[in-house]
Order: sequence, then C-alpha cells, then structure tokens
Amino acid sequence: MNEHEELIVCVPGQRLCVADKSNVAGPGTYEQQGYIYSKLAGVVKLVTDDKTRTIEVHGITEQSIVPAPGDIVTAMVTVVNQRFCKCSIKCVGDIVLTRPYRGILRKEDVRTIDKDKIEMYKCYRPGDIILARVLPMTEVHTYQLSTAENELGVVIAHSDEGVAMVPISWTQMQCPKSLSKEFRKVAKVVPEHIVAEHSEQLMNE
Amino acid sequence: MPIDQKRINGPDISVPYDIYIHSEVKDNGIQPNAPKRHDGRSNNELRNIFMKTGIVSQAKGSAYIEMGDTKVICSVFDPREIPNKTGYCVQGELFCEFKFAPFSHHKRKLHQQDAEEKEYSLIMQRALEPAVCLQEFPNFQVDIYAIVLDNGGSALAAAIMAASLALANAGVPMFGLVTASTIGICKQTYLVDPTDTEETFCSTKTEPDTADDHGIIMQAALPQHGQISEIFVVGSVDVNTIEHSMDLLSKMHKDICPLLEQCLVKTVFKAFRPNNKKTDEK
Repeated sequence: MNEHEELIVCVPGQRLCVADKSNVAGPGTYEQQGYIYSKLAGVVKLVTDDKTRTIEVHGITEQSIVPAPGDIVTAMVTVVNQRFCKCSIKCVGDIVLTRPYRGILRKEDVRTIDKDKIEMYKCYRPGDIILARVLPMTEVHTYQLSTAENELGVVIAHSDEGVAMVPISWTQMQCPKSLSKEFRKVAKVVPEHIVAEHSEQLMNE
Repeated sequence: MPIDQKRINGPDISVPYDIYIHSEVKDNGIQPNAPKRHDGRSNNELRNIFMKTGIVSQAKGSAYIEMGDTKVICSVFDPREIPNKTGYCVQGELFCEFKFAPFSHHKRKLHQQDAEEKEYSLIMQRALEPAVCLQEFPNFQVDIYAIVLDNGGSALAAAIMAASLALANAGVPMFGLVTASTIGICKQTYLVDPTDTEETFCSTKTEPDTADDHGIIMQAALPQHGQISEIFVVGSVDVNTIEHSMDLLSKMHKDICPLLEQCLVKTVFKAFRPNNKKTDEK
C-alpha cells in the first residue's frame, strides 16, 4: 500500500519555522524577524539537500505566467509597419496566456541575413500566427520579439479566400485553392503527422 | 435633469416612503443602556459569519461573506497593465472598486459610484496594500471588485475581509490575511459589529448641546503580525475612547482571523484531495 504523505496546509501569514542555517526560505515563502512565513494558501513542500532544507509553498492556482526573455512564444500579428510590426502574444510555450500581452517585432530582428533588404510586407501580414523568441525587455508592457532563427516565423497564414496556406519555401506560401503565392518569412516547423510517425517507430522499436 | 441615454429613464425624482414614518415608531428598536441589543447580542458579541471562496467562475479568485444581514461578494482578476502609465515602477498596484448594489439598503443607490463609495474604495485599497507583496508583479495592477448585495451594517469591514480571502484564493502573494471590524460608539456604550440601525443611531447626537462621544470606527489589521493597516473614524470621538475602542477591536480581530484561515484551509483541501485519489489509484 502507498503511504501517501499528509498534506501540510498553510495560509498566508502563517509562521512555518525558524530561519537558520539549515532551514531556507524558498518560493512562496518569505523571511521576517528570524522566521519563515507563507505567502500563499497552499501546501508546504520540504526539499532536502545534504545540509539545508528548503521550504516551499505551492498554491492552488497556477501563477500567472509572464513571458520571460528567451521564451518561445506564439503571437498573432496585428499591425504591420515599414519599420516594425505589432503582435499579440497568445501562448508561452504550450501554455495559453489568460491575458494577451503586447509584443513588437522590429525590422532588424526578422532574420539574420540581408537585414537591410527586408520588406515587412513580404514577411508578415496582419492575422498571421508566428513563433518568436522574447528578447530582453526594453519598454514597459511591450515585449521585444525576434524571429532571426530558422525555426521561427510564420506558422499559419490565410490567403485572400480565407484558406490556410501551405509553405513551399523559406520565403513563400501557396494557397491550395487558388494556387496564388504570397511572400512570408516561413518557420521551419516539422509537420505533425511526421512527428506522429516518428513516435510510432520509436514505440515499435 | 440630464437624461441618461444608456439606461431606461424612470421618474426624475423619487423619494423612499419610509421617511414618512413617524420617528417614534422607528426608535423602538434601540434601547440605550439595555442589557441586550435589539437582536439579542451583548455589546461585545459579533454576528454570525459565513465565508466561502471560489464562487465566481470568471474571476481568478473570489469570496463571499455574510455577517448577519450584510452580504458581500468580492472578485479578484489577473494582474493587468496599468492604463496610461509609461514609467517603470518596481512595485505593482492594487485597484479597488467598492459598490453598493442598488437594492442593498432602504435608500436606493445609483448605478454609478457616489462619493461615499469612492471613499470606501480608497479605504479598502489602503487597508489591503500593506498585506499584498506588490514587488512580485512590477508594472501590473490587480483588480479587486467588491459589491455589497445587502447592507446590514459594517459593510466596509465585510468587504475588506472578503477581498483578503479573494486575494488568497487567487494566489496573489500576501504577507498575511487582513481582518476588519467596526465598532459603534454612543456615549459610554461600545457596540461591536453594529447593524445598520445601530450605525444610524451612533451617527447622530441623542441630545443637543452635549459633549458626549458618538461615532463609528472601522479598523483593518494583520492579526498574524499584530499590525494595523487602516483606521477610519467618523463622528466626534475622544482620544481615550479611541484607545478603548482599539483594545476591543483587537480582540475582535483575534476572534475573526481563525475563521478566514479555516475557510482557506477548506479550499486547499478541496483542491488537493483529488490528487491524493489519483495517487492512490496509481
């Protein structure tokens, strides 16, 4: 039988233990006047190292996730300009954000080669879904994005007839219905069915 | 009067009917220097309190509180950008909105915030700011909306406690829980947790040309750390009376704080119990 640990429930402001060399305050706690207190309503976790023991508190709800520099985010292009385009960040990794955040993608950060010859209208259009990486923040509430990698760029784009276009090269996408070609900065994304086949092969082996 | 284009326009002026009742009939409820209050409580007794969290599904955190006939719902939403702010700020901000429902009292409240509600919003914000770890979300603000469904007295204290529960339910980091309580003073009588009738009684002078104390004091505190975060006094009160009121209110905080803790512990148990079942199945 499993001897599951008993839950140690705490509330904000509850004193947990003395703060000394062996007990260290971790996330979800704070230290005040020689004691460790809880910041959240949740469950206490004890992470034991060889000498020290870190005390953490895990809350009920997941914390609001904010994009951090280096994260790969999924964004939707909203406004395209000659110098930059504005995006609305929808997801961070696999996690959907509860509130969309504003992002800005400058002309110099679109790709690594031929920076001076970039035309924004041939890379992005309003409504495209792009993958981008977050750069260090320089403005308040606006995240700097970059697609200067092969795996970053436009993932989903719709043509004039509203059909999702198929990427045919690094810089072009084609509408399967009207066969018209449009210019985009295409992301090198592995199709999902190939990923599924690869997973099946690994399972068979 | 200006016509509101966004709502159905009723009569220009309407007067509640209860002002036509004789004042002699009204005052039968309050008996000064009686051993028991009109609802059967002693002077230092709180009303029955009910608390529950997680009642508004759209909100990140929410709480509902009843203190006697006072009913308050409070919602807390995700941190969001502060509008019209360009500078960088190390600390986050709290935005509080306190509102009485139009049907919450004898006198009908308007749909927009009046001066009293705006003042209560600021008081609520000042009471909660010392308890919230604002440095955890720089450049963002947390929205708190409190609406009083039924005002049976001490509505501001109930709203502050509901907001504290809602913030903890939302997972906002806090240094401690905030409790609030109200005391009504009339001459030498101290009425803890007054009802709306008692509030009206304490707000008015009983006899003209006398120097007796009368008023209402609301105090918000962090009882786990022994700190006071906000005090709000209305009326004409002596300093010695305020000191005595502080002692009474501190006792009330120690009585109320375990109720908030129990409510949160129940919420945590509900959230983590299904994990135990899954673990047992595996």
